[in-house]
Amino acid sequence: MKKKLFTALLAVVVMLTVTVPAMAAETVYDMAGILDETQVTDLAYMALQQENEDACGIYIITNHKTSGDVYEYARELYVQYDLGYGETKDGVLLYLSMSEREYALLTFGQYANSVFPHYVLDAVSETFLDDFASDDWYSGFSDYIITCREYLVSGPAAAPSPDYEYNYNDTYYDYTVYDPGPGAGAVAAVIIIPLAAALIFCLVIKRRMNTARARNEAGGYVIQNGVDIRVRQDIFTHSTRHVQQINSGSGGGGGGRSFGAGGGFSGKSGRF
Amino acid sequence: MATNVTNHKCPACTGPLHFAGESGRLECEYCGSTYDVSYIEDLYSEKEQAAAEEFHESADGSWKEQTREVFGDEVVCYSCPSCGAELICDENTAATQCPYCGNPTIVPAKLSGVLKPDYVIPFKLSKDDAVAALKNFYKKKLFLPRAFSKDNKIAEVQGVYVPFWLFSGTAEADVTFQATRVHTHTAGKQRITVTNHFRVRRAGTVTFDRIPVDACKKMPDEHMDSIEPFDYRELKPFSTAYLPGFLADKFDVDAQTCSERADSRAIQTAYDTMAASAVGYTTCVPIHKNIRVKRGEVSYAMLPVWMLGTTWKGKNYLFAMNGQTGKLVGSLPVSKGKFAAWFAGIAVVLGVVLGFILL
Repeated sequence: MKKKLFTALLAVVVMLTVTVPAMAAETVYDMAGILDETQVTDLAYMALQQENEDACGIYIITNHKTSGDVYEYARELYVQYDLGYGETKDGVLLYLSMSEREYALLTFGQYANSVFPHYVLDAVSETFLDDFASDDWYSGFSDYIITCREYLVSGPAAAPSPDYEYNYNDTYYDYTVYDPGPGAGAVAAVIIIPLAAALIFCLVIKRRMNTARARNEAGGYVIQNGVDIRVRQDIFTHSTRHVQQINSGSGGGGGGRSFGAGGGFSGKSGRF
Repeated sequence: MATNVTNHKCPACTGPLHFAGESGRLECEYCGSTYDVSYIEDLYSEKEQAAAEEFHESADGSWKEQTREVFGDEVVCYSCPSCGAELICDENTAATQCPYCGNPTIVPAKLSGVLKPDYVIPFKLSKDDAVAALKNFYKKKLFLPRAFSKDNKIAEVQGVYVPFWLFSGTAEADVTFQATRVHTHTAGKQRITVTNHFRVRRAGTVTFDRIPVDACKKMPDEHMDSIEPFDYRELKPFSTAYLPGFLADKFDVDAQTCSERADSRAIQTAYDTMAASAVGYTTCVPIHKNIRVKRGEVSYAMLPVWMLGTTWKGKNYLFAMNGQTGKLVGSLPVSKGKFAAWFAGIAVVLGVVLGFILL
């Protein structure tokens, strides 16, 4: 009996040692090399537990240097690494750019956005910024994951308190849409545009089959200098203004698949 | 039987004369002699005058004997001066050809007095030119059934001097528009559209010279409108000497009736001119329009048209070619199969290309 139990435990240990590093590569990408192997494994394990429980991935990416805007770069990495849980690709990503000492904290998907509105992201960032300020990367990431887990367990966030104020040192982004693949619009375009173009072409050619048409103008019979416009009055009467709110965030761009209201990216960026 | 018609015969051999557009002279088919229009005009002026007088006299006395009703249409019968055969024409026929001896026949009474046209533009293009133009018209018509262009024969090619009223005049226009200029700019997360509104007024005159309106009920207006323009620099004072070899009808729609179409075209052009002068606006919508036509000279002209007809699958297809400029118009049958094939082909190819780009 003891032998059988030992064999079973050994099998579990072997399975964990093989699978956890493999899974770690899917949630923690330490390209800057600021964590050791054990720390990466621990953080990945913590993050993976959450993904399985709440249908929202928690991710960490570090890098030496970022070209361009840190938030935009993090957004591209999210798409490039195919992050996110399930079909809706919900997830929260903390990205660190070491040489600029900048971070981006972003969420994607309707559920993740509902759990992590801007004021919650502010609360999450407060838990790791003090650790990062003292270069305690592991503690900062641990706090980030734990805090995210707590918010995910409690579900979609309520409205922020009336006295909530945005942090003026940070930049916030709202629901920028991105397109990891073809959406319904693209499929419709592939069907409708060719049909419409083919129809227009055929109707134009068909119209040219009949060139006999009554004329309703006589421009060709106006004599030389036969136009005499004596009155030319252009009087300004009034002016109207129409203001349209632009819904997409300042993070801009993207286009393509939309997850409806609350879908797409949301997040903030700042320095540590 | 009335004999109040004339044949233009060759003074040398009495063969039938035809006006040739290429040379601008009257030519004899038999001996090859050619004659100036003015020479033949002088030669036949007395005969035509006599024929016209005879027509009017007989009309006063024995008109009923000359007219008959055939298939419900009133026709007029003449006697061919060359062979004596009976020519049956409709009441507007002014020039025709004897179906027995082939002699061109003129009915001077239909082209004299108050019915005399002011101008004529002689044919410049021949029957062969018209047939070639029609064959060329078939080319590059993607939906034309192959059998139509390959096997179909042109059933009828006829040169016709079509009566036209030419209306000159001036359109006086006073048009007021509600116009806007729109500017859009972005400020933060707001797209601001500023629209400046203007009241734009344009008033003036547009002067027209000889807007043509066909005065023949038999001729479809669409075809006659579409073969415009004619080069009026080649307008000549009317002479029956230009008619031999072609058909001609006198007008059967009076100038007053035709003037409505000319006025309508003049009004539209005057409006377009006023609207075109209001430049620099995003939108320009007319809110008040007052355009009237002050009619000037009205003249009556015979203009050269080649009419070509064919029948295919029981349907008649009519083409008209400007006998002066060669502009040909008409309607062609559409192959449903070719239409469907092109539609499907374009849709599929475009769909595949877009699929590669977007998906």
